[in-house]
Amino acid sequence: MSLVLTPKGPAPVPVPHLKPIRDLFADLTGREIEISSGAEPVAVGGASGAVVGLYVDASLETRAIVMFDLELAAYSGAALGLVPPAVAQDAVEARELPQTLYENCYEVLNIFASLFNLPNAPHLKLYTAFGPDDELRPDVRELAVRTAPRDDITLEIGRYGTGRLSIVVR
Amino acid sequence: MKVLVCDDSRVMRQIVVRTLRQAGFDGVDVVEATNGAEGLDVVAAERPDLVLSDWNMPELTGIDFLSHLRARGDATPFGFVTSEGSTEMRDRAAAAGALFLIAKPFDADTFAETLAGVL
Repeated sequence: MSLVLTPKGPAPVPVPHLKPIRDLFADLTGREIEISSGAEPVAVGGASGAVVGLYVDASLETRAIVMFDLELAAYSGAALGLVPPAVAQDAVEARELPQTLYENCYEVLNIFASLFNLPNAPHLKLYTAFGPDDELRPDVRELAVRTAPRDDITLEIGRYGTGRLSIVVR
Repeated sequence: MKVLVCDDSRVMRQIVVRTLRQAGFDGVDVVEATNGAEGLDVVAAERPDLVLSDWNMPELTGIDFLSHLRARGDATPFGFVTSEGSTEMRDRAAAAGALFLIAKPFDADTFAETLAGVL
């Protein structure tokens, strides 16, 4: 009888649940948040306007990405910094994310790391973010279109508007 | 009362200051720094009663900022406000001499409770 050894890979990264995501956005923005799963995946690259956060573990291995479409990047960035909704709506209309809103959105992605860090899961941190005009690294682009494990979410920030985020883990 | 808010993100400094006010500490005088190296200078120049510092920052991280302060014999009360809230980081913070670690996102109630005995 031979002994079968199961290869032991790194511990899986959990896809965050909707409630902690909602709570995080509510705490950060002080706004009512409506959230639901089953959205159209966020498109990245080209002129999509999306912002992509890249999360790594302690060995600097890529373990997750979070993509905000332009709408969510603008609305979350504005709500975080108490920037009037009209400024974010103008950005969405112009399909251009002002630097201030991008920096604020980066902070949202930074704090989003806490949602991955559950007991017995690898500790992740935001390694970098790709803005609307940045070229994505090939591995990030490849991860962005994976079908699983992922979640595609619609999120409405009260008084600001509705956007989408996609989360992919590996 | 004077508080140094040290964070490389402008919006996070704004939010920390806003939360301080919302938590009832509206009379405190706030000074700011954008990283630990700048924080060391500001502590020396301004003598704050409390430092609220981020952990991950360029130039000098929050934990190194704290270590440098203590190494030069400076006992200014120091707390972290950071997105890293793991047990390991809390232990490291406490071992280095931090009074508390508030994990982002936070609310005014957390600030009020945590800072009640400090400010």
